[in-house]
Amino acid sequence: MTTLLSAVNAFGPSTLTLMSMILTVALLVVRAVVHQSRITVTRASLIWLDAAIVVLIVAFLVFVYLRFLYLV
Amino acid sequence: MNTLAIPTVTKRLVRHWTLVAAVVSLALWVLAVEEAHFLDMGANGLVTILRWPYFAGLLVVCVSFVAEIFRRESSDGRLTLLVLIIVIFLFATGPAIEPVAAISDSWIHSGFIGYILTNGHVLHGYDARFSWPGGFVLAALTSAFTGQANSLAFARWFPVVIEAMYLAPVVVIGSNSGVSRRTKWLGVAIFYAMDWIYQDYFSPQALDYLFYLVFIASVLAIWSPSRRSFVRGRGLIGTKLDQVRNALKWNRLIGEQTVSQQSDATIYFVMVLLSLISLAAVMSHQLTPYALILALLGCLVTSRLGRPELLALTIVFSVAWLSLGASDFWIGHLSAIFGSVGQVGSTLGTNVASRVVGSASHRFIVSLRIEITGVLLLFAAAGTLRRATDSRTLEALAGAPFVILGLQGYGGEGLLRVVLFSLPFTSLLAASALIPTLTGEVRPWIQPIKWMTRLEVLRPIVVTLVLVVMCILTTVVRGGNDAYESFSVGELNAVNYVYGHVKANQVVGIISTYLPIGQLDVGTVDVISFGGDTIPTQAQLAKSMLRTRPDFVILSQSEEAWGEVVGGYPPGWENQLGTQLIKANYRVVASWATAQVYQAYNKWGPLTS
Repeated sequence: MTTLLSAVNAFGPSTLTLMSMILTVALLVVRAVVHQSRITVTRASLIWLDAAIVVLIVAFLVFVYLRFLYLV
Repeated sequence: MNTLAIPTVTKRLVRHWTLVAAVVSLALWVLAVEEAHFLDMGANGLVTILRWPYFAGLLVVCVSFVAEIFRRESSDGRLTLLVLIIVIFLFATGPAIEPVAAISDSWIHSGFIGYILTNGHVLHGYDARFSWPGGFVLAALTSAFTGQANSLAFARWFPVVIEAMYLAPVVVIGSNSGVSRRTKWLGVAIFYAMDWIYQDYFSPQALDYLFYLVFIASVLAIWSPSRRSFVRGRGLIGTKLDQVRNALKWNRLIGEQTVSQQSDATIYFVMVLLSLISLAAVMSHQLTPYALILALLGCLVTSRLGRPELLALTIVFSVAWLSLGASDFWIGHLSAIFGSVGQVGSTLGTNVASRVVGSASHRFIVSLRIEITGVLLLFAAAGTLRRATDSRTLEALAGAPFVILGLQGYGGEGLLRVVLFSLPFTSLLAASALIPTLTGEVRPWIQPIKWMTRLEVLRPIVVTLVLVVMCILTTVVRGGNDAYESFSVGELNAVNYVYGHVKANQVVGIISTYLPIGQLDVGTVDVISFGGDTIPTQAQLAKSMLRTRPDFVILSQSEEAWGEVVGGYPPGWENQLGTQLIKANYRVVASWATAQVYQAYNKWGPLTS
């Protein structure tokens, strides 16, 4: 955890990487619960949820790439 | 009463004759281990000190196993026991004969674990492996929990223990991959009979491989395809193209074409466990998480993964750990990660051609390894063509790890790892070549030939022969490097002597890394291997050693064997080097039958730094 925290410099690519990762994981948990428990929601909501996850994953990968550029 | 008891006992013995054979084979194994003399080992490794009891025992257990598969009253319990005995033959023989843990990396890993145990954290900037410390931390925790001062107590018998732990997930994979019961058990036996790769030594990757198997076994056990999107009447090529198109349909990619017999509560519970396993796996090894991602992708496109969130989580965790947790490794070495992307040809060259070097005996062992792997893949291809099935998940899982070769050379070891990741599935496919499943919606490419059904009676004999040959070949090639990868007590004593006398910042010189060294003084004592990655000539070796002038030099039997087998040096080369060291003002300060310690002196005495 110390390593992880020391790698995170505020408002830099590390923070964005970590935040986008946490948000992605949170949305994936929401998606799993909605689908597995067959919670009744509109089809549009499901599509928006999937779109949000895809966008977040892409953003996460971009931040990872930026971090490579920033630190290498 | 007594007159009735005798026939009853006889009947039971006859009914359970495979168990009696199991006991006989174990007795023969014990005899083989007792008869073997470690110090007599030749250039071809472990097999050179194994006598007839080993091979007789192996034959007995293989015959019993195949008989148990084909008998009418076959029992899973007896089959499990027989597989475990095969595991003992293939993976416990080395540890039982060799006096200390084999493979120098086992000792280095013990050093890393010891460092974490003592300091409570990893040593930054010291070794790439410290950037994936999950397995080391778990081992440190286990050592502390069991009251051990270090983890060396676990290292020697670790291979056989971890291989036995692989059995449960491999059986579950077999049970849920659409093959018949006989094929499943034969596949499990082939998995062990072809596991010559020796990645089960005391290491995080051996643990991560267990995580990999458990993850895939759980996914296959929970989800199955809801329906097949059948395409017929479009000709062979048209049908296959349509099937590929169906595999990439959005519904399938979001897991909607699967069903599960498990309750929601069970699925949630397993998903939490698998997420934790994924997290542990990404922190423990560089390559395994990416093999897992590819395998999960294979499950998804064949409708065997109902919750694609697991795949997304594994991707996010893997990349996040690489970016945030393993930055010690990649800062300044980014090309080590991405430099070999797309260079399949050079990766294969590094992984195959560059390994066939050294003496004739070494080239023989390496060539044999390549050939038996090729034969296994041919068997798997035949199994693919011969079997009927409800889904092509096995084929997808067998092929998925090979994508890694296009992305990462992994320091010349990529192909080994890829074959290992593919092994549980290629084994089941290879078993399908011998005992093909004949029922399933996807028909076999090659229909059963009628006249061959008359030869059905020969099938157990053929299966036995194949299994015995595989086991013998694995015995030969797995222990083929043991002449230099296993160590004597004298060599361990020499290393311990050096650790007892070396001071901080002094340098210890060794010929090659094939010594039980690295378990102490991590980060305070420099150990330099003069053998290096590219093998020097004998003259270059001596020259670089004398120029560097390390404070201590260890010359040993395993290093001498490495020089003869891999380096191609003449017999007695180490004595010549010892003479050169004496001339350069080194003195022998400790000596055992299999190792000598030299210390650098000047006219006032031993060098102090």
